[in-house]
Amino acid sequence: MGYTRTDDGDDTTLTIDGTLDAVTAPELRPVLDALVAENRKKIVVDLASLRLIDSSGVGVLVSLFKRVRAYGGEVNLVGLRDQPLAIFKLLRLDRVFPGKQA
Amino acid sequence: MSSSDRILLSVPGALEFRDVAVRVVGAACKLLGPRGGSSPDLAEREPSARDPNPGAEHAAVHAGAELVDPFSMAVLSAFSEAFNNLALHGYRGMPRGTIDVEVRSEGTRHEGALYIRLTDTGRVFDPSQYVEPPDELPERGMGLFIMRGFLDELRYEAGPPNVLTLVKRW
Repeated sequence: MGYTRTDDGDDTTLTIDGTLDAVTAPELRPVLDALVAENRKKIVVDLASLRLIDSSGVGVLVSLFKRVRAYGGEVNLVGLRDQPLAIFKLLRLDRVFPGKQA
Repeated sequence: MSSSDRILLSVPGALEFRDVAVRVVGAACKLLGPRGGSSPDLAEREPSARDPNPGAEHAAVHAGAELVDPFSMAVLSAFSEAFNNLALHGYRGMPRGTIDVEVRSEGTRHEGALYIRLTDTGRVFDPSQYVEPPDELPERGMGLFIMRGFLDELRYEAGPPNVLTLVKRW
């Protein structure tokens, strides 16, 4: 799993690639915690290069969504496709997270 | 390929060994699943007749292309969750045991099933005791829901050893 964070004014884009699962999700958690700690209000998570996700990976993204929403911000997921998109559809989360999918 | 063909793997019951298990199951989906086929007519043909470019197939498995194929995608998603459960919960606080994986298939190229048996000696985890679907915004407890959603059947026999069988039909 790799990630890139890019800040542009109030907007933050977080690009995640590779595998986000029970092994790698703990590595991403501090990055997401930092976004919340900084009260970033407009966050786009780009998952176009994400190859595989499991329930642990979904859990950290849902946690981010809830925490940002709690202080009035928004999280958009974009680029979901293939296996990650199938997981989000199964969990009916594709309707919760707005954003353009691949 | 025949219905007696099996792929066996034994790995320590810890998350760091999941990737190798996922890769093997991904390759097994190709070899034993609907595209690999297990009908006698296919088995009797030369490999070159079944697949005009076997090298490309081999490369596709290693490139992770199996995650685009719906059958493999479903199987690997469910298998990943099953392995997580055993490694994270089954062996938690216990001496690390193994997770033995057996993959086999039955049927023809057009109709059949893939069976994946995971055998462990950890705590009993009976999927039938956990049936609730996730709420609108779940952060945990989704693994079993994902397994049920992607599989046609989920069987559990409490041990020791415990045996969890994932069944995916085509």
